Amino acid sequence: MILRKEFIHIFRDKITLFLVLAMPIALVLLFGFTISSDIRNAKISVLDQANDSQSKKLIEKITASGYFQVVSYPNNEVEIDDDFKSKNIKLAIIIPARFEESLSNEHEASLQVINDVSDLNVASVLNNYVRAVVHSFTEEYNSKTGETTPFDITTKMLYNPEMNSVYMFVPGIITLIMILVTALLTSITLAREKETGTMRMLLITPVKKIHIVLGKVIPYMIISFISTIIILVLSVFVFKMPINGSIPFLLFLCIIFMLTAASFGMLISSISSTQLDAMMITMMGLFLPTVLLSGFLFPLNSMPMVFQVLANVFPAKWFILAIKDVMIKGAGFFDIWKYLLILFAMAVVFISFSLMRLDKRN
Amino acid sequence: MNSIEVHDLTKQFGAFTAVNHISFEVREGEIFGFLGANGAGKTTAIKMMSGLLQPTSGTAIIAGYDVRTQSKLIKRNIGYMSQRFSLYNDLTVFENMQLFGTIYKIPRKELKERIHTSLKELDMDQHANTLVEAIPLGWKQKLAFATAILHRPKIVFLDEPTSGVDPIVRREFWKLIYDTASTGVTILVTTHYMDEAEYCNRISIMAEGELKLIGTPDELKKKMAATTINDVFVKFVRR
Amino acid sequence: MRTILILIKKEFLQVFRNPLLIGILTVAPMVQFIIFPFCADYEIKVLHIAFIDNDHSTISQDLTHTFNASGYFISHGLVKNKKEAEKMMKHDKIDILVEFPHDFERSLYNNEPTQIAITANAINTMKAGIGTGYVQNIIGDYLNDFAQNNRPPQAPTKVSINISNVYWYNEQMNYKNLIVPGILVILVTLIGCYVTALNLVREKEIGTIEQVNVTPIRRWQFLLGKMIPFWILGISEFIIGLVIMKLVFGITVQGSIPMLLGCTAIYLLVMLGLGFFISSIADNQLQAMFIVLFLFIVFVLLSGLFTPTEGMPEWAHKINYLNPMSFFMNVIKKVVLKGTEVESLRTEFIVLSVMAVVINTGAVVSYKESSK
Repeated sequence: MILRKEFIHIFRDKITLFLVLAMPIALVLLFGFTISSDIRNAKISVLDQANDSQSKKLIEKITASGYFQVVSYPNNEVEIDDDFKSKNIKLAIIIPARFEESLSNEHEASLQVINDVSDLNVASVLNNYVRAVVHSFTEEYNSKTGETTPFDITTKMLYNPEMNSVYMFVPGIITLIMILVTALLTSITLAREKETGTMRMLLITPVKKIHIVLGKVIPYMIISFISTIIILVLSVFVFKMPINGSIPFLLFLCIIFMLTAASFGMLISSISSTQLDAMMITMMGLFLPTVLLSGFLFPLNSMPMVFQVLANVFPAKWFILAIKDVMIKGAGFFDIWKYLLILFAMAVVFISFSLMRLDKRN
Repeated sequence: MNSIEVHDLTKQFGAFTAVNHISFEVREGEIFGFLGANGAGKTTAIKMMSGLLQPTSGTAIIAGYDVRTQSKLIKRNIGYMSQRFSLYNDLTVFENMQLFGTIYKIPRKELKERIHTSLKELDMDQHANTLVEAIPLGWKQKLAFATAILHRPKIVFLDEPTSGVDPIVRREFWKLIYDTASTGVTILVTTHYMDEAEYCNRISIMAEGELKLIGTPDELKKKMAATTINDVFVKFVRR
Repeated sequence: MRTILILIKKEFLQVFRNPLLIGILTVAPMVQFIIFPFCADYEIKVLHIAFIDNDHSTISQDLTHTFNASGYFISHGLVKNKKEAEKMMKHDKIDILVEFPHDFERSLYNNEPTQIAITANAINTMKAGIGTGYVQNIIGDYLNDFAQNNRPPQAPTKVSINISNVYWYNEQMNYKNLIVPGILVILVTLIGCYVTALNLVREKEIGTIEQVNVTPIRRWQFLLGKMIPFWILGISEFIIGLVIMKLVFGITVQGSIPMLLGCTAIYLLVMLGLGFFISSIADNQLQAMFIVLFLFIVFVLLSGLFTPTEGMPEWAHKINYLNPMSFFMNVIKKVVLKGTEVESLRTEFIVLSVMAVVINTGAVVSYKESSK
């Protein structure tokens, strides 16, 4: 009965329903297509103080690599500074005078690379590229004199051979959406019933308390379950992400997490009295920690110890660990039962606490 | 002289016709009652006449101005009070009146005086600095009315002003309406309390977006062979 | 003029009487400033590495020790076999595995080809890419040195090119220098867009907006009366943020502060307009919140705050031309970190101004439409 009422509410508010279902799709597509650690055509400047045949060859090699795009040839270091500021270049390479001579006479030359380290990761990636290009330049130079380097390094990218950034973000987006839909909507609708006084009316009816709460929570769990499936389908068919674990087990895991998220929503609504309160507490208490402390965007082990410890309190961390293992590494129940247990225990604690609060009010 | 002249006024929301070709006139200083069940189209009609909604077709001349082209002039000459209480709860009584008075461009000094006299008449002058959320509902309604006539409008639209208010306050409220009408202000009021309809100079009954009956309370009672307006309404619905 | 002043007064009175809003405006920025820079650290500082040594030679052992010396790696030592190593990787104990082949040392001395295998956990592509790069460089440098020192006397000298890196605009290589100004952007955006959108939708939900609509007030007057208070709040927050940035994180603005404030003022106008636009199309606070949140995520994602924009496809770059946050992010990076002169900010300045005009016109028009 209450279940049906809630569904009618949801379907009447078509805009919200649309937002709730369209948002995950847009997010997955955006994350999937835009985030890539592979940098192409980074803008650079080359200050060629040598201007000889070898320096030209090097520049040619740099351009041909596809990683870089030489946008300017400054004449001195002051102009390099200008390039960084107005042309938005990411690095500058200075080829010293007498480059060719140094190579043939002293068998040694040095290049100077100036990095814009206002973004450290970009700088690191580009430095690796520069090294690779210069390495192959020297190889070529040496091969003319009959020498080859005897060693070879092969690299294998485990779990994600195509270096697809979606692998990292899909679990995170699923978590985010489930939290947004399940916890946020649950807490807001429960808070709305409280705000308008209809909750009290429901509570004096002979319906069991747990049924009232379940009736409110289940519709949102179903919606977020649908979103989750949409995200999974997109990531498998559009981004070719594998699901290495068993699909029923994966869905089971999602349901457990949804339960935890919904119970968190109930907890929030039990301590807030208006919709706005519920919204703010969910954002501060759940959304931000999920983004920051779940290891979804930012590696947990680079954080100060306090935050690493704090992260354990929020369900998102455990779910992301579990879902990554199941989807990508093909883990089964015995690999991740610990995470499941933690999530389930959290749900039990949250639910009993909020039912207790509901009791007290009446 | 007529202060409201409505002719074939119609409003459609998509396929739904909320107000269907209604026509009537209201004289200056008259208290005109709009009766009808919820959803009969009363609020939509009022919103069109006060310039909140553009009509789909038909004309309405309010205080001599056309709602289609002169809504700004209309707004300056009318007062409006909606069925939802819509003063700011988180402002004080004085702050609310000052806010709306200033929007109507009442000079600073005069505004202060008007607020003062108006609160005195309502017997609320000691509550001038109380937050609106802290005062009881009946007082809130009276306050909303006082705020709506602060700029001395020629016409006041009252949309269910007394819903949810106890009978004593309702009577006080109607005294306010009478006092205001006696100064020459035209009042158009909607209500679903049939006893209130007896207080009006003339009333009209709306149903399904159409104006079904119009006349003085006595005329209508005679016409329907009823003793009270309530009977009129019941008989009308049965018909 | 008097009308607008009284509206501004009304808005300030309401803000200061709402403890929750005061909380959002004061506590939230504090929390963001305290927590964000420590958590939102995208930099790869630590990589866990393990080795499989099939050679057990002096060179392979020496090479493994080289990794300990570099600050990036935490070595988990030697692992017996591939199976065990993959298990460690599965449980996130290690990020990278290096395997030396049988006969590694002998091949090197005899100048025969030999192969070193690196395996990386590539779920985090950024980490894997940078990590394997580091590993290749360390091994490459080591073996090149080895080759130089052990070449037969009659062989021609091989050339080598040294690369020396110079770091500009963030000499301490501190990630906070990027993230802290980024938080400023987020703060200004949230106040501009989120708070105003919710504010106006709330008036719609409660019904107070109807009482205002029935007065002869003009739409732009009403919107201006809402805009100015939040604009003032936004600028104040930004200034407080700058002070915190200087005092707590020691980041000094390199460029012109008036220029920075000017751009912030215009950016705030864009965000305020967007907030009003959203509130005119949303029916209730929940919808407004979802739309704002969604746009916010998209803006942040495309602005290059947390992820490099260089790796994005062409169409994403095109969308970014519509993303006010990315232009503002550029301004902040340029003025705060690089100390760019006023002239090179012309593009951003013009674009933001145009956006401000367009979105605010749109807001006034759609507000008019919605109240018909």
